[in-house]
Amino acid sequence: MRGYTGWDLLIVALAAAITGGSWLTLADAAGPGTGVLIHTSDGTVTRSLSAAGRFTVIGDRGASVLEVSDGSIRFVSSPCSSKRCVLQGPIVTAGSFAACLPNRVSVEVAGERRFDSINH
Amino acid sequence: MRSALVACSLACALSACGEGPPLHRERLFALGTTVEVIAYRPGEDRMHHAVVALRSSLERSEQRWHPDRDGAELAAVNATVAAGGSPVPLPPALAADLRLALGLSQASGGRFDPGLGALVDLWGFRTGERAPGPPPSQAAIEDARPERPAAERITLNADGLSADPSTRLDLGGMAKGLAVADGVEALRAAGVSAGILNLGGDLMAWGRPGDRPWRIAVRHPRGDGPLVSLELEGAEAVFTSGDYERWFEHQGIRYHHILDPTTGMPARGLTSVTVVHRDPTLADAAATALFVAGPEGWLETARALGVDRVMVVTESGSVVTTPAMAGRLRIEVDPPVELEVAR
Repeated sequence: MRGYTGWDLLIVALAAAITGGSWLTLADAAGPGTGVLIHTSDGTVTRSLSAAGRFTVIGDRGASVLEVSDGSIRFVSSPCSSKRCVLQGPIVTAGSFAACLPNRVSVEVAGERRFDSINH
Repeated sequence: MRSALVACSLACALSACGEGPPLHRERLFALGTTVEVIAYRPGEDRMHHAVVALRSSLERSEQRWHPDRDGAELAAVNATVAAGGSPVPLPPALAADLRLALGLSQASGGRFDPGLGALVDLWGFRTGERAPGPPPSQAAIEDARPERPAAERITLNADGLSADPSTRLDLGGMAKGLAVADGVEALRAAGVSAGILNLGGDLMAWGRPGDRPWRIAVRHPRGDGPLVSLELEGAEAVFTSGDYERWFEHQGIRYHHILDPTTGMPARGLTSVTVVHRDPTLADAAATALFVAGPEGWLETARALGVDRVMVVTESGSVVTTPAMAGRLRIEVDPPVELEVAR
């Protein structure tokens, strides 16, 4: 998240504090993604799924490039050897999850979920 | 882009204010994977303390069971064994874990084996970052493959652990279960009366989120979406071993990380095994052992281990369950698959 000012980070931190990281709701029905949560070792930030474009997230190993498009998000590149995160492709439904574990960057589609948790 | 991210953060925060959701979710990285904590109405202070307690618990887990990290207890045992230093005195907690592992290995007929570290390293599945390339040679596999079951080649008594210097302990087949058990205990002790701890896809739930049970989906081994779902009542763990977590492909053949101790090769015949049990450590080890047992042996191995809620998916796509599991599952694919009940 390089390139942000102290005020930007303060606002994001306040937003995270207000949500308490808890805005993924208890829901009976599946819903479309309303946003995306981006997790790193430094914490969690949120981003809209309606604003298409590529952006960079800095993880433990370096830069992961993510792309939002048509209400989905995917890893475009990441500093890992297997590229499993890139091969996973776009995720779109609420509760979907993709991660580059070596770089400690994960993305999660927010919104109304059908299930409390996914076993895999 | 920067302003969009900041604005979005605020919008999300504000939208959350009005809804007052009863579930609190946190994600963190630990033990080489992602950890999800879901707590029902924990209260902000309590949740903060609970997550701190969980982090400490997971760090202790890594410190105890990592097979080759500097300072880890199991790594120190491996180093001493490799240097011919048997018997190796063990810290009491690690001794208890290894005793449990050897017992599960014996009960599973050697299909769960806590001494496959050399084989795991040879295949490059330790970190999930194996670079593309051919599988190890048959000669190298034969060299790393144990000749006898773990219970026959590793002994544990009052003097400590004794094993051949070529033995490399690796609790990867049950470490997540142990970590989940300890992590749930830490969360409950911190005051989380109902929640889910999901460690890299394997989870345990306890309590109830209000007036309904917890709802869990089990991933389809050949798709991104759920295959089945089930509701959890009280404290139950759901663990799945699948060939889709760590794998590589070479010349059209998929090689995955669940290794058969008798062949040294990835176990064949099943694509996933899901076990539901109150004990997460047993569920973890059983899922591994049943996967290795394959289509012909999984039911017998389940009985031997005392697990009665099992679902397996075969390489041909058949979904087979035990009678006790069948009534718990709801099919989540369309068109629906038919559940076959094994007796």
